[in-house]
Amino acid sequence: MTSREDIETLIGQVALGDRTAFASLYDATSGKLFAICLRVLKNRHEAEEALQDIYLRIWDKADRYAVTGHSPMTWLITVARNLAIDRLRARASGQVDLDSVGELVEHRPGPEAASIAASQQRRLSACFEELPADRAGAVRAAYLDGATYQALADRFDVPLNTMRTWLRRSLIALKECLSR
Amino acid sequence: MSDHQDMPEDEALAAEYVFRLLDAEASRAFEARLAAEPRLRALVHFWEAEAAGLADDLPEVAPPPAVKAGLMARLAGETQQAPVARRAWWSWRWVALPSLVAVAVAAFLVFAPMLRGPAFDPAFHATLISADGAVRIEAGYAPDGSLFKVIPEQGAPRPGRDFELWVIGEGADAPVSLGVIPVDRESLFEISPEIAALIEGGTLAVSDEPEGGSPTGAPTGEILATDAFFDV
Repeated sequence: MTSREDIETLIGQVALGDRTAFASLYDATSGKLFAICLRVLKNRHEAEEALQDIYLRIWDKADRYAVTGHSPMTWLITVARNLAIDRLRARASGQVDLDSVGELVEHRPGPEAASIAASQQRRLSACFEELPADRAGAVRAAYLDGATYQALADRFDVPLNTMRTWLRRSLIALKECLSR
Repeated sequence: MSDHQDMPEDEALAAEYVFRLLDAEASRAFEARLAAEPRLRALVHFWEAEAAGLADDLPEVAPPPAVKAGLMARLAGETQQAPVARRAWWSWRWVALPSLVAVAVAAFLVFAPMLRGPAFDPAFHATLISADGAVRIEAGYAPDGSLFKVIPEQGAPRPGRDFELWVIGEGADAPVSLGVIPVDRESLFEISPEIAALIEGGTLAVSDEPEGGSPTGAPTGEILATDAFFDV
């Protein structure tokens, strides 16, 4: 079990060029970041390459972590997701058919080595429950699958503008709920 | 300066920016505003933090040890090439069961041509032969050095597909991946104690998977052949 403080300390040491701390940070957090890569890229080999790029980015940018003002996992997840999506969008093949891809195994609740604060999780879940199910699904797909508006419109079989309106409204409603 | 009437617009825009829903042009335009508008930066910060919570819906998946080995090598500047090479021997990977997620698995690849370790002396064997006889794969495990050897005798996956090996422990309900195997050469590699513990009394299986292996940590394609490990 690695606490938020532990991860923060490790990032601080990595910022000073400490490779042992870097290896520990990898051990503590790579399961989560690899899951993100797999979810976005739907391909193990690419996910493995992306994961290396992500940790090299973390190595390079660790000294900038503190000024982001984020919790350590938020920062790591954001770096991971952005790089994974960069790779996804760079793919020549373009469209990923979300429905053709098997979902990862079901989430088993339990103590997680590296996670977002439980209270934040509960709030997020509660706010998601206030959205219509299909819209909540679209928001999740946008974040977790890196789906574009076009991909979402195809997936939910609605016109592009409808999807855009849906999602923007959903995001504003979420923001309102999360800010309560 | 923006006034307050466009607040919902900016709130949606900041979220779209974080969610990567904006096209390149809109994204650049938004970034140009970010530098000058602290309120927009606060919105982006808000969404980054909240949205990261969505990633917690994903169960952790332990990356294969080769990824870390390659990463540390890249960091040390020991290699200029991408270490997760486009060749199958880097695809060895292990999907930890949730209980093993936190276990740091120390394993690394051993390349047969460079092998200087102990001679390979297998104590357990398995032979995978598909129902139609088209695929035949020999495997052996030597506890001394925890070395696992795979000899692809016959058969190859269809274009765009890969063969993936799995170990199913005695009485276990979930197979554990040994990774995608090259079919054009033998491979020899070290396995983790967690996987080694499954071999005695366990079963070896090979499945047909998308290129790069199963995206889920469990077999998704046809199981082509299975065989119980037997003592040599």
